[in-house]
Amino acid sequence: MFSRAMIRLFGIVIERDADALTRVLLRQGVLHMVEMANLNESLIEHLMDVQPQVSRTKATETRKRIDHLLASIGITPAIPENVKIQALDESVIDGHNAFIDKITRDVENIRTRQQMVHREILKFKDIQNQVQLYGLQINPQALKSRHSFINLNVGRVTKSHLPEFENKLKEFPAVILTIGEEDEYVFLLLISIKRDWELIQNILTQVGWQSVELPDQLDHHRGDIIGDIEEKLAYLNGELEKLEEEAHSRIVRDEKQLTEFWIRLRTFELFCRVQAYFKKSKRTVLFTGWLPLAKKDVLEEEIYKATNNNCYLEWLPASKPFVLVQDNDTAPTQLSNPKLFEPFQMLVTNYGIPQYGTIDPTPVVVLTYLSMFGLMFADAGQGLVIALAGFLGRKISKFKKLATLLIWCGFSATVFGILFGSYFGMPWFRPVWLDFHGIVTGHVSAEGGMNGIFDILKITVIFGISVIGLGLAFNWINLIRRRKWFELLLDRGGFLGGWVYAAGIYTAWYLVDHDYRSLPPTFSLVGLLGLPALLFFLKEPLHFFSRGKKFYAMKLVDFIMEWIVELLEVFSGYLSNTLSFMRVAGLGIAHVSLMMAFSTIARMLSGPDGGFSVWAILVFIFGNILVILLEGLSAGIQALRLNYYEFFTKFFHGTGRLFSPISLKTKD
Amino acid sequence: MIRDVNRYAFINAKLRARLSKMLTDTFFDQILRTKTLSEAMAILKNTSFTVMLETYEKTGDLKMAEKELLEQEIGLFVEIRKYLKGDNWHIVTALLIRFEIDNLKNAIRLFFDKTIRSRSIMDLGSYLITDTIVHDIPYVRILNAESFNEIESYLSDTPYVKIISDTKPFVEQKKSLFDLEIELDLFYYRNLLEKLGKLSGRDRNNADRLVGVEIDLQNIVWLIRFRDFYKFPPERAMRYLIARGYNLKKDTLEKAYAGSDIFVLLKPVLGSNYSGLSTLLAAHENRQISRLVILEQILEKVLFMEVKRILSGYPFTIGIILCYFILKSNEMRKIKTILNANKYKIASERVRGII
Repeated sequence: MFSRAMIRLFGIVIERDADALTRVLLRQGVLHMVEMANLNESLIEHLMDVQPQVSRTKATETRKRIDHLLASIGITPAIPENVKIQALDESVIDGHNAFIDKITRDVENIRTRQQMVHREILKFKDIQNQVQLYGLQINPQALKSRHSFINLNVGRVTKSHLPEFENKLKEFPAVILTIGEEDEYVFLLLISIKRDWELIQNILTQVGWQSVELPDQLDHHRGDIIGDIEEKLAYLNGELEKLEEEAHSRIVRDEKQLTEFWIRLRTFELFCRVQAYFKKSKRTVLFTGWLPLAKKDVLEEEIYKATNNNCYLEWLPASKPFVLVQDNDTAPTQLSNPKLFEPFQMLVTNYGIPQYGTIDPTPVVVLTYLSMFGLMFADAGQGLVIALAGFLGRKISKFKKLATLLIWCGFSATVFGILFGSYFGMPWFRPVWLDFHGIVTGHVSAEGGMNGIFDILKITVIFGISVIGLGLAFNWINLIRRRKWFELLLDRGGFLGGWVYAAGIYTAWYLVDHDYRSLPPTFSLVGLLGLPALLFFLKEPLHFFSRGKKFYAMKLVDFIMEWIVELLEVFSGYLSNTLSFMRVAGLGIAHVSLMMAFSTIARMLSGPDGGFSVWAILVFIFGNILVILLEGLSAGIQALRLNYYEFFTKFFHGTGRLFSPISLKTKD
Repeated sequence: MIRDVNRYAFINAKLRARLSKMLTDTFFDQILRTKTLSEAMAILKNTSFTVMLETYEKTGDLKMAEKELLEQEIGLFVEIRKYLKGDNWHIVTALLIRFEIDNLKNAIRLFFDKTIRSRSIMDLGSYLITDTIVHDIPYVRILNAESFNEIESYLSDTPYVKIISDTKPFVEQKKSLFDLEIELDLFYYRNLLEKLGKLSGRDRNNADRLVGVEIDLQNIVWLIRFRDFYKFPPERAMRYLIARGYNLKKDTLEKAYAGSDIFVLLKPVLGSNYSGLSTLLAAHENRQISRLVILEQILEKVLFMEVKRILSGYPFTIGIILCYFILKSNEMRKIKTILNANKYKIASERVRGII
C-alpha cells in the first residue's frame, strides 16, 4: 500500500575512481540521481561540473541516426547486461558517423533508382488513364479526330537507331510496339499522348523515322497495346518492389554493426548522464541521490569494491533534510505492485504520482474500478467477449497494459453477469444474487428482498459511501504519517470532515427510515452537524494565528466568509460525491434496458413459429456488438471518473515524483 | 451556449486530438540536422506525416509523398465538413477551395508549360490530385487541352470560369500566368470573407482576427514579390491587395511599399495588441535586410499569437477549425521545405532561416 522506503546517499570518491563509480551506478541502476545545489560560496569556488571528453550531444545525435535506421527495419535495440561500459573518444563517433553516412548514401541511391522506376510507372499509368478516359480509338479515322488524346503512328526506323529511339522516348509517356522487320528496318507502332506530340516529332526526326500508312487491319493490336502496357506496368512494379527490398536489405546487411554502435553510444550517453550529476573538486568527486533502502547494502558494497574503499558514503533517512540539494528535494516514489496490477497502476499514475510515504491506492483501485465496471456492465457473455478482445489485444497490439485492463474488466463483467443472471442480455440462467432483469422489467417477486429500482440505487449509494469513507480513512493515514496534525483535525478531509460526513449519512438514513417524515431529534442534530460546523469556524483563525500574523478587524469578515464557503463546500460536496455513485446504477439499468430492447426487436423479427429468423439473429448480434462497444466504453470511463473525482480527491494529491534511476535499461 | 457545444464539441475534440500530435520545435530541430532525405523521412515515422514515409519507401518519389500527404489532409477537411451544416459547412468548403485552387493552378501551369513554353511535362500530371475537392474539375482534360478556350469550357460549372475568361487575354498576350493566379488567390479570400461575414458573435470575432492576420501576412508576402521581383509601381501593387486585413490597413501598406519606416508605422498597431512584439520590432530596427521580409516574420508571429489566444480561450467556436487549418498548413509547408532542401542539399542553416 505504501511506496518503497527510500534512503539518501551522499558520497565522495577520488577523481580517478569516478569512471569506476559511474560503471557501478549504471550496472546497479538503483540510484535516482539528484542535482547538487545550494552550494555555499566557499564550495562553489572549489566545485565544478564533470565534463566528458566527447560531446554527449554528438553521441546522442549519432545514436539517433542509428535509431531511425534500425527502426526502419523494425528493430529496437537494447543494451545487454554484460555490456562493457566505457568512455568514447571523438574519432570513434566520427567513425560511426562515416559508417552511417555510407549506408544512408547507398539507401539514397536506391531511392533515386526507385524514383526513376516510379516515374516510368507514372508515364505508363498516364497512357492507361488516357485510354480509360477517352477509349483507345484505334481505327485510323477515329485517331484523326481532334477529340482523341492518343497519337498512334506507324513507321520504321533502322535497327541501329532503335536503342537511341527507345532511350529518347523514356522521358515521355509512350509505348513502342514492334510490328515487323524488313532488312535493316524495324516497323514500329508508336503510341504517345497528343500533348507531347510536338516534342516527340523532334525525336522522330532525329532518329530518321519514316511514317508508313496506318493499316486498316491494325485493330487487332488493341489487345497487344493494352496488354503491353499492363505487362510493362507489372514488370516495373516488380522492379519497384525489388528496390524497396534492396533498400531494406542494405540496412539489414549492417544491422549487427549498427546495433553494436548503438549499444556503445547509448552506454556512453548514460555514462555521461550519470556524470552530469557529479561535482568535482581538484581530487574528489561528489554525488548524491535516492535509492530504495533494500538496495543499500548491495550498492554500498559495490561502490567500496570499485573504489578500493577509497570513498566516503553517508546515508541519510528520507525524513532528514540535506543541505546540498534544493529545499524541495523530497524522496521519490517507487511503486511496488504485482505485475498483474500494472494496468491499474497506469490509471493511478495517469492521475498523478503519490507523494513519498503516502498511500499508493493501486491495489484498492483494482477492487473499486472492477466493482464499478462490473456493476455497470454486468453480463457474463459480453464480459467474456471483452476478455477475449483483451487477450487478442495483448497478442497483436502494442498497448499491452490497456489490453490487460480489458481482460480484467471482461472477467469482472462476467462475475457480475453471473451474479445478476445476464448472458448476452438474456436471463438464460438463474441469478446467483440479484435478478437485475426482473427488477428492471418489474417482474421480480417481493420475496427476494430486493425488488425495485430503488434497491439497486441503494446498493450503489452504500457502495459510494464505502468508497468515500475509505478515501477519508486513507487521508487520515497519510496525514498521520506526514504529521499534519492541524489538517488531520480541522480539514474537510480530516476528522472533522469525516464527522460531518458520518453525521450526514446518519441523518439521511434516519429520514429515509422514517418515511421522509422526520429528522433526528434537535439535540442530536446540534451535536451531529451543528457542533462540527461551528468547529470548522476555528480552522482559519487557528491557521492565521499559528503563522504569527497580525490581526485586524476586517479579518474577522474574512474568517466568517471562509467559514461559510467551507461549510457550503463540505455539505454540498459530500452530498454530490455520494449521489454521484448513482450513475453506477443508472448505467447498469441502461445496459439491461438496451439489451432488452434489442431482444424485443429480435423477437419481433422471429419466424411465425417463434423460432429465430436470420434477421432476428443479426439484430441480436448487432445489438450485442453495439452495447459492448458503447456501454463498455461508457462504463470504463465512468468507473475511471468515479475513482478520480470521488475517491482520489479525498486523499491523493499526486504531487510526488516517480523514482527513476539511471540504469542500462533507461529508455529516454 | 448549448448550441455552440452541439455544433463544435465533436469537431473540437477531433481537431484538438490532432493538434496534440503536431510536431514540436525539438522535432524540427532534429529533422533539420539530418543529412539525407532518407534519414529525414525516417524521422517522420509515427507522426501525422507517416504517410509520406510509407510512400517514399515504396516509390522513392518525394513529390508523390507530398501528394499523398495533401490528399490525406483534404480527406480530413472533407470528413470534418460532414459533421457541419449551414454557415460552418460553407466555411470549411471555402477553406477546401484553397487546396482546389492550388491544384487547379498546378494543372494550368503544366498546360502552360506544354502549350506556350513547349516544355515536356512528362509524368508531372500524375502529381495532380484528380479526385473532386469541391467542384468537379477534369484536371486530366485540362492538361491535354490545346487552348485556354478549351480549359474555359471544362470549368464552365465552376466559379473559376469567369476568372479564366477575364484573364485569358492578359495570359495569352503576356505569356504569363500572373494575372490568372493572383485572381484565383483573390477569389479564395473574397469567397472565404463572404462566408465568414455570415457569422456572428464570438465566431465572427475569432474569424475576423485570424483570417485578418492571415490576410496581413499574405499582403506582405505579395508586396515583397511585387516590389522585388515584378518591380510594380505602387498603384498596381495596391490593386492586388486583399481588403480586411486585421493590423495593416491599406494606407499603412501603401506607406510601407513606398519605403516609409514600417517599424514606426507598426509600433502603435502591434505594440498595443501583442505584448512582446515591440521588443522584436526594436531588435530588427537597425538591421540591413529587407524590412518587408522582417515584417513577414513578425506577422507570422502575430498569426501564431492569435492562434494561441483562440486555442486557450472558449473552445466551442469556428476558431478551432481555422486554427487547425493555419497550423497544419504551416506545418506541412515547413516539412515540405525541409524535405526538399534535404533532397537538393541546401544547407540546414539556410532552411532554418526560412521556416
